[in-house]
Amino acid sequence: MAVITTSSASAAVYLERRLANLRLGLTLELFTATGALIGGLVAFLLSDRVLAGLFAAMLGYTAWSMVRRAGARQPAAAAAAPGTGTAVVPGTGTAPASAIHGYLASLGGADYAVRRLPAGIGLAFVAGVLSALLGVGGGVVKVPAMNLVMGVPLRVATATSNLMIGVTASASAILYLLRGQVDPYVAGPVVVGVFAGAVVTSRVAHRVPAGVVRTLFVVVLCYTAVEMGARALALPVGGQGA
Amino acid sequence: MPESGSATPRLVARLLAVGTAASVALVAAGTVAMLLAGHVPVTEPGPAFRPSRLAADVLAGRAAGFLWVGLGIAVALPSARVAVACIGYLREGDRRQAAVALGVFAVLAVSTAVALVTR
Repeated sequence: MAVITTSSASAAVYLERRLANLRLGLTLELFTATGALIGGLVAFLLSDRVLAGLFAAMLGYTAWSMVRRAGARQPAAAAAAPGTGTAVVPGTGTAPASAIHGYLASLGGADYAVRRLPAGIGLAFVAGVLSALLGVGGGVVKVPAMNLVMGVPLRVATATSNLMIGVTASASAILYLLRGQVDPYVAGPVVVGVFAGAVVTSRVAHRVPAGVVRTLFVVVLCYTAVEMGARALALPVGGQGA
Repeated sequence: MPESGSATPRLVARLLAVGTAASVALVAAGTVAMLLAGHVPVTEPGPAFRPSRLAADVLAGRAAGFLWVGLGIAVALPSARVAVACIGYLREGDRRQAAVALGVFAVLAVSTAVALVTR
């Protein structure tokens, strides 16, 4: 309930300000939801500890990549024609012609273009599988995937990921509701509290420097990596991942 | 049409803003009613979800009615915004993006059905 309310309240602001990318979010959501469905069905086939170890290593590498990227120039693989969101082929100024490139161009924002869609889709699928298998939020995979692989600005990536989590969380919430596992006396005060936090945070988020957002995200990645590493080694660490 | 030229994100934003405000207003009213009635969260289990009693509970001003209706709206909002996105893109003539939204809806429906069958 808290995740859904946070997602809905902040996504309303992010979409109004064109910070969250609805088209990209829906596209990746399709594969994340499919990954979560398949992950839930094959969970019994895989070792939880091996997966946690692999995930910890992947998160560590991602955190390192984000720290390195902070000091490097953004790649110029696909630029956007300002105000159009249309991808152009670098060095030519012309729009690419194939169907996949046409779809890719439609996913871009006003001042950025989306690239490497197949890789992004693959990672969104992995995020869904890992969410179902390890009980971690897919944001730790989806945000770096959108930012590092697909060339989406970090603020847009976090806002779009925030938009996406509401849908997957609602699927679980419907089940808990039907199974009688939601206590309204606990959920009520929690929903009111997270709503207040989400409304305030989403309205001031654009004033937080991008470097601070990146640093906070790296901290979350490192924390989750340590938690997953501890799970892989069967060490006692409390709580679930981000 | 690129994302920046589409009116659908604004339509979805309005749905989420109005829906979340309605949901939180009802939940807040239910929380106040719960506290005024002397109920203590965590130590005392809340009332079960009974759809047939929702209207009567709300009309009687009971906490359970406001809380469950508010929480129900919150749970339904993400699926509703996928549906609104689908309709919005269809109206703009973007059948490809509408199909993607419909696909998300279908996967969610299958996930819920599978979970209910295998619980």
